[in-house]
Order: sequence, then structure tokens, then C-alpha cells
Amino acid sequence: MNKLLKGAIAGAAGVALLLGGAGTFALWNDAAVVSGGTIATGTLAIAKSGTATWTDISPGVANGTTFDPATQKIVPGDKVKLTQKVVLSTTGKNLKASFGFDPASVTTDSALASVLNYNLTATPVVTAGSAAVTANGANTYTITPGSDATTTVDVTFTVEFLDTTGTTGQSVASAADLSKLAFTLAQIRP
Amino acid sequence: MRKKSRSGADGAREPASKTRSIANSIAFLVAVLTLSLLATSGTYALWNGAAHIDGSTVSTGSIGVTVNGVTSYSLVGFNAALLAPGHSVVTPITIADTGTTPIAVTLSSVGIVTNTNGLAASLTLTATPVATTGACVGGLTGGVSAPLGAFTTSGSPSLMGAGTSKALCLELGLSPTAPAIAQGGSTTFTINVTALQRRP
Repeated sequence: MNKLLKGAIAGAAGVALLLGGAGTFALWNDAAVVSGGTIATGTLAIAKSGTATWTDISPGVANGTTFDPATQKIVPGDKVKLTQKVVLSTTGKNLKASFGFDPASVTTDSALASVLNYNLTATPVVTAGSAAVTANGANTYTITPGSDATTTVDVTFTVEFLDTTGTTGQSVASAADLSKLAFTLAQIRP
Repeated sequence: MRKKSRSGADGAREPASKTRSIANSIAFLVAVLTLSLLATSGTYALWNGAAHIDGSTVSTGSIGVTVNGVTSYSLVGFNAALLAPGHSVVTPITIADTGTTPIAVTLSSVGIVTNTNGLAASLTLTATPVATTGACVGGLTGGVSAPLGAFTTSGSPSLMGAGTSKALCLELGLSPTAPAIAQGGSTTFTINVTALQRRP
């Protein structure tokens, strides 16, 4: 066999060896499957239940006296109360929420800005697993879920006409516009 | 075949492949930047919800008082020229609650505007509630009586409901012991009618 042919074979063989390594070369690796179960998300929602009712709780007025904002008008010293049930849906291991009302959802006439006072209360219908509702500052409550997925809360929104002088704020047709009143529920971190 | 090339800063020709490589790098960086900006365009917040309540609109009432239908009334019938010591003149007025709230009405703060011969000091004013203006005559009892300059019904205000009215008989008398110097004198005065909102 002449040398030229030997060199060609060696070269070809070398190339063939290189071409034959079409797979990737890497360090050892392995995998194991872990069954981690299923993670689900909780809930946070608020919905009204039933219709709102008005009561006149002014000093000197008999308990349970109704108030009709369509036909009756408030004067200094009057206090009228709107009552509405809401249902809070609250589930989640670390869920906590703040309940209140959106001040921007109430429109107060400028003539009464300093003499109309608003107050919100929230009282849960207590069951074994109902959420805890605790006051946290003016018109704000902290909601801590219990074992129940939902909790019914009796909410009251009071409009008080403070004492004033002269004829301040009289004959105002839209003194407090509550037609778009919004109760809010916002998650807070523990 | 030689590849085309461009001139560099030192006048040497740079290979076209290097230019293309730089351009590709810039394009890649721009793409990465854009992706990063797009990724931060949404706001991230905790859960929240709201329930909207139609709470209607609350309106305010009003307070108002008039004397004989007006807010400033000039008394007629008080002709002091007819007065002699021990005599009096009478005139009825009707007070109305023109607001939407009950009120307590007081006559007070009599202001002596003009006074000659010291007449005012000898005058006595009496205000007596009457069923009708026609029942206003001299000598009625059950009202409030005081010297004109100090007259006030603040001790027994007239309690009125919204939309109601009451008649008062005003009697102006000259004291039986008025000094002679008071004769020929004249007095003009004002009386404030004050309405205060009444709570139930």
C-alpha cells in the first residue's frame, strides 16, 4: 500500500470518528419526580344581601322610627341610619382584609361639608366559624377569616347633621348623595 | 472574491462582518430593553372588592318665621297720640313658622330708635296669645308684660310646629304715673322676633 493511500485512510477514519459523535457529551445527570400535591387560591369578595333600610335615630325620636329620604328632610341635631347586610367571602391561609367605605362614593353639598358627619359600623352575624370583625380606626374594620367561607355582616352608615348657627345648610336638596355608596373590602398582609 | 469593507476612524478598512455583528448586538439589547419595559407596565396589588349600595339622597329642611306674612313688619294701630296715663292701644300680629322644623319664637331685644320727652320710660308692652286676631282687645291677661325697653318673652316662648301660625295681641300702655313732661312725646322702637329650632 503506498503512503498516499495510508494517509488518506487515516484522515478519513479520523473524520469518520468525529462525524460519528453526533450526540452531545455532558456530565452525568438524572431526575426524580416529586408529587407536591395541588395548590389552590383563596377568595376575597363582598356582596350586598337584601335591600337597605333607613331609621331615624335622632335624639328624642322613638326607637325604630323609620326615615324616608325621599319625603323627609334632616335638620341640625338629626341622625339617620342606613342599614345593609353584606356577605364577605374570605378564605386563605394568610388572608386578612380591611373593611370600610369609599369616601369618594359619597357626595356632600359644599354648604354642609363641615356639618355633616358620617359613621360606619360593622357587626358580624356570629357563628362558630365566622370571621372576626374588629374596629381599626375611624370607619374601618379588620376582617380575620374563620373556618366559614362566608360571613354575613350587618353594616350601618349613619348621617349626622351637627349643630350649626343661623340657617347654615338649610333647604339643600342633595345634602348627602348616597346613591353610589360603596362598601369596600381590601386585602392587607398579616 | 474579496468581501466589501468600510473605513474605520484611522482610515483602515473594517470588515463588514464586524459592523453587522455590532448592529445585531444593538438590536438584541433594544429588544431586551423593550421586553423589560413591557413587563412592568401593569400594576400589581392585593385583592380588593366593593359592594355598591343605592342609599338614596338625604336632603335638609329649613327654618323660617314671618310676622303678618313678611320678615320685617311695621306695626299699625299703635297710635301713641291716643295715649293718656292709664290707657293703652292694641294691635294683633300673626306669627308663622314657614320652615320644615318646629320652632320656639321669642319677642325680645327691643330697640328704642327715637324718644322724646322721656316717653319710652313710661311705656309698658304686653304680648298675649289669642285664638284669633279679632280677639285682641285691651286688658287681656295671661301674657308677658314689661317696660318697653326691657321687654322679652324669652321666659315663655311661643312653641310652634312647622307650617303653623299663632296670633299675638300686643298692647302698649302709658303708665298711670307717667310724668306730665312725657305728654307730647313720641317714641319709635323695633322688636326682634327670633325663631329657634326646636328638637322633638
